[in-house]
Amino acid sequence: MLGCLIKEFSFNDLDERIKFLLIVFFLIIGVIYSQFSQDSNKRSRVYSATYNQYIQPLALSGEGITNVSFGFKELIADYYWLKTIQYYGGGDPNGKYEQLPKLYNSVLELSPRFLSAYESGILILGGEGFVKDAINLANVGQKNLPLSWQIPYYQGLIEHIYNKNYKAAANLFDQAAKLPGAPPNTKYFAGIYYSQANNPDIAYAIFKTIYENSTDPAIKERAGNYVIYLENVTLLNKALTQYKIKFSKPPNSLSDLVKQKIITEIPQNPLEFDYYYDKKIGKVLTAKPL
Amino acid sequence: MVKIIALNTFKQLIRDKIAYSIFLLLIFALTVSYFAGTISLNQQIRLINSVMLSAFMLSVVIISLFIGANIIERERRERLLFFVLTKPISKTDYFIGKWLGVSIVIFLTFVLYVVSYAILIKISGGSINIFSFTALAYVFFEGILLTAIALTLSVWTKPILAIIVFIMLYLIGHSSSLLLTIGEQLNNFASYLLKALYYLLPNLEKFNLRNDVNYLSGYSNNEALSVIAYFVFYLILTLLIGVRVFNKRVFV
Repeated sequence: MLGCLIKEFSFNDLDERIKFLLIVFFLIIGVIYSQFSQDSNKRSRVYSATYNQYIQPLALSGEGITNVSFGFKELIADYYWLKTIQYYGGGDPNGKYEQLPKLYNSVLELSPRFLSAYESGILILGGEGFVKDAINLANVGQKNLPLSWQIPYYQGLIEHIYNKNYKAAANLFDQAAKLPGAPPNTKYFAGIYYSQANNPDIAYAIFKTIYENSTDPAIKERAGNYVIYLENVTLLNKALTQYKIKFSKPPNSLSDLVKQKIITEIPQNPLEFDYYYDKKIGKVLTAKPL
Repeated sequence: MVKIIALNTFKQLIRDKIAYSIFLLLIFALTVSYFAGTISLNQQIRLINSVMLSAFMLSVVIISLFIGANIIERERRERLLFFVLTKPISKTDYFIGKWLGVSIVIFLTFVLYVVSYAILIKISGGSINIFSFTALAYVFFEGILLTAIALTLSVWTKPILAIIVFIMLYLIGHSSSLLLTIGEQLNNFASYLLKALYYLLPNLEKFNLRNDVNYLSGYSNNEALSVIAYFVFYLILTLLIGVRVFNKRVFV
């Protein structure tokens, strides 16, 4: 009976076009199935311990690529940009991201005005332990995009977070604040960093300007508190000088100034911390010594 | 007469289904720029600019290389050229007509890219950047000039050699500033020679605004005028040489 059916429905009787479509259809099914099968079998591969499972992406020098880009420089820069994102987003199994600085350099040598690449490069490189590379990238960025406030701003963050260099951070924030489009709090951060760097005079001038000019009530209030705080520090240091003249040695604590009636009371700190009194030098510092 | 030959060439190219390959490249560029943009950390507009402009450039090179460098030779092979030239048509009209026919195809490709670029930018939520259109227009100019160069080369020598010389001119044309850089490091004679080559060979980087589109906020009219002047001078020069070579050539 089956033989009869096959005979009845002979492949040869079908229209040529349908025959062709059927063959194509089965071949496509075969292609899809074999792909699927290979993909699932691939997961069960067993590697020897010495097998290098991970290949770092290749970052060529931007100058070299530029010479052979034949007018497609930006397209190649974008290709490297996507490659950088994939490399960082995909995760390095060794957790080192050794090629990251080179990839960023390639992107930015090809496209030296690519602001977003500088922004992410400075922050990501710094975060992954390539602090020197992040700062180098920022320096290049400042040369290529001198009017961009973002580059000194982010470089300032790197100097603060990873290098603990408050003076450099303060200078960079100050520089960023002078550039067009910088957020109003940039100047405020510069003031904080100058204060952290024990540079009370500059910090005071900055906070005073912000207090007098800011239209943001929160920033105005905070800057006002810093102004009072820095005035208090100056007042306490003057009192400490008088104490040292009178007793030829610095006091053990600030309360000695009240006990010896040099000042009537220790002014209240409007910020949420105690004054940093350094007994050895007999001075109130604007920031905790490192 | 030029108009008739140009229109016939255009119709012949459309029949050859050249439009399909251009259309496929456009679809590919649209897909790549749209989807790659989504994984680019908010750089979608930047990617659309570079991919679309590069794809248009590639289309233009394909048209001028594979059509421009072959069109007359193909008609010679198919004996059509001899048939046409027996009619009261001057060789000059024929050459210019062929160039114009290919240029119409490039113009249509240009329109196609302008429209799809504008739509893609709108869909992606970006704003239309006038410099992108200037860059597209410059690629169009480059395409017309490249077609003239390819046609001239094709009547001057054999098709395969014409294609090789065309590719060399294209590559040199997009890195001619290297000639000056290398020249600075060489002795006087070589330096002058390279300088002469720099000024004589087509400097296609003059039409390359693609790399600056993402950063430009101003572009002087004087610069645009000098680019257009360069295009007009070089185009007329190439066509003149082409016509002269074609008129002198004896086809067998």
